[in-house]
Amino acid sequence: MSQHELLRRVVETLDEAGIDYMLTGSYVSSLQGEPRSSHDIDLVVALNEAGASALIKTFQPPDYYLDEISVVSALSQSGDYRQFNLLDSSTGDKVDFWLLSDDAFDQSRFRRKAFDEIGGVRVKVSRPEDTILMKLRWASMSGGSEKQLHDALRVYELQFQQMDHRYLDEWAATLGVVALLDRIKANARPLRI
Amino acid sequence: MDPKPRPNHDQYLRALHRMTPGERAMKAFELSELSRQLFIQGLRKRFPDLPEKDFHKLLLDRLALCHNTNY
Repeated sequence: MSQHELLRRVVETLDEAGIDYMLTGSYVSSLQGEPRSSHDIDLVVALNEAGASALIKTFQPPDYYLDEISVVSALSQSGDYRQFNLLDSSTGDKVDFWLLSDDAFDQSRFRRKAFDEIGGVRVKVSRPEDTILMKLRWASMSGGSEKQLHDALRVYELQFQQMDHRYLDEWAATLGVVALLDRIKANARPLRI
Repeated sequence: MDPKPRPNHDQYLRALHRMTPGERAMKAFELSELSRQLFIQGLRKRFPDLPEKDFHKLLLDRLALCHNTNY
């Protein structure tokens, strides 16, 4: 199964189970900026126990690996970075499920998500400002990942004219990533149509 | 950030802009599949005699090491 098919299957399962979700990470920075390869599909999910059961029931071995204990454990914990993952056993492709947290930025970006279409699949994705902010947040937490900064830079350049710059600046201050955003701005050569 | 000169950067961004968001995402899937195939070929070259079942297990183990290597 291709990554695209894996995404389709996951989105269909989430939709059928009524689980709200948002695609984020490198596939959204590819969608809004510069395409690049990745082994991981990142999703933020507003998961409950019924939704978790639907995922476990759909993604069964031997085709998939989804550890029920990890899912239950993620659901029972509290905190900002709770996650579990799903593996496609034939290809090794992975979907990371990040549980929606009470964190103000997590709530804001989840509220602002919008539909987009990827190869015939309607998918809810993060807005460009939030894609950039989350990339900067990861870069900050990882000590300055160039890959995250590069992704953020290309989204900034390509979406420059459509973005809500006030939102971007305000959240960058709240998240403590102003220096990284300034670095993006200093290096950017935004597209002007 | 990126020391490489970008003499045609504006044209590059315009080319990206001409693609739909969905096309850019599909390109990412395509690139990911290409890199996976290259990875498989390289691994097979290093382990030419490994039975298919063992090779598949090795491949999954190696791919697992590639996940979340964003840092």
